[in-house]
Order: sequence, then structure tokens, then C-alpha cells
Amino acid sequence: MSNQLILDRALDALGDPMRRRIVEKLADGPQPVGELSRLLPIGRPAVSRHLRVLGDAGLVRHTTRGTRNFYDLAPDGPLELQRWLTTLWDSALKSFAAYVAAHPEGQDQ
Amino acid sequence: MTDFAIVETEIRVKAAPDRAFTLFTANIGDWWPVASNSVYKGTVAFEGSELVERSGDRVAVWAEVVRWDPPSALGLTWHAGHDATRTTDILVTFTPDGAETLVHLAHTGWERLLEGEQASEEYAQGWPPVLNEYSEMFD
Repeated sequence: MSNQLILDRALDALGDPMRRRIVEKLADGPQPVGELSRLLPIGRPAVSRHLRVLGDAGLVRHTTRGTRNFYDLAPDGPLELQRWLTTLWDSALKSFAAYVAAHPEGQDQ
Repeated sequence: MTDFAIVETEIRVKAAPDRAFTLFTANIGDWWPVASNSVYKGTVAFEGSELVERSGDRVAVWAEVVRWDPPSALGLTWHAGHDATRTTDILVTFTPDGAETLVHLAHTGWERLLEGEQASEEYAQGWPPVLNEYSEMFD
């Protein structure tokens, strides 16, 4: 999957307020589904669905400790944001460089 | 988790710094890629101390000029896509390189997006709100 697609998914995933609450809870450390459900006003099946979306977006990862499943924040999330923003400014500056090249000095209107 | 504290990029343009600075600012409406990077796909221009996008009756103020040092530096507080209560910082520098110019852009100040909202939490925990800010920036 391309970085751009990962970013699109991350931004889409965080467009949902409940998923942002889940991410905020996970910022305190890994949690099992049951604990997240206890901390939030939604049931386990809904928490699981949201975690799947966050996982597909590369924001949350899943670990197993013994027989228990935990979820926590994926460490590379911010790096992807940095890359995305850099790409955004890259495209703006490339557009500027192309404009300058197409308008040499002395050819101003 | 603080890796995105600085976002930066650089490009070489075929003009001396004074001309590069002028084209970057006075002609921003001619080169800015509004199709991909804008709020309304409107027209962009520096109006006084502000960088403004207009599309019909709709107006979005993207940035305010905080440093104007032609031909070497342009500093902006950036808040495209939301109001000016939360801004980040842009510094564009123009450095001569032979007959050409290196244009360097640094985008910093992300930690300020979190103030008030999550002031009691660690910056490291605050990246999702920042990501969310930017999901709303250029739709």
C-alpha cells in the first residue's frame, strides 16, 4: 500500500469522533477491547469495528499477551503525517519553480 | 512521537533571489496549485499582511505575514482551513546559488495546535488532533 493511501485512510479514520476518543484512550497505553468498551459509551462489537478501521489505517496495532489481545498506537503514525505534509509543500514549491522557469526575467507583462 | 516537529523542503528556482521573492509573493495567485492545495479552489493573493483565498463570496485567510525581509526571508503564521486561534509557522528563505536561488520552506509550531485542547497531556500523545486538523485543511 502506498504512503499516500495510508495517509488518506488515517485522515478518514480520524474523521470519526468515537475513533478519536479511542485513539486518545490508547495514548495512555495498550488496552484490551473490554477495557475500551468500559471507558467509552459503546459496546464491544462497536469498539472492535472501530479498532479494525484504525488498524487498517495504520494508526493502531494489535498485540497478544498470553491469551489476552491488546491494542495500542502504531509508532509510525506521526512519521506518515510528516511525510504527507512534506509532500504537500513539495508540490507547492515544484509548482513555483515551474512558474519561475516559464517566466524568465525581462518577459514580464 | 515528536518527529514531525519540523516539516521542511527545498527547491532551486531559475531566478535571482529578488526576483524569486517577488514572484513568490506578488504572483502567488499564478503559481499556487489551488486544484490540489486550497480550501475552495479559488484564487490566492497577499492582501496587505494576509494571505487570502477568495472564491465568489467565500473568503479564507490562510496566513498572516510576520516577517517580510525581501529578498531573503518571508515568515508567516499559517492557519489555512481553520480560524486564526491555532496557527503554525512557515519560514521561507531565499538563498542565492550562482544565478539561481534555493528556496527553503520550514513548517513548524505544531505543538501550539494542542494548547488549550490538551494542555495537560503530553505533546507526544497529541498527534491525532494534529492529524485531524490537517484532514480539514485542504479538502
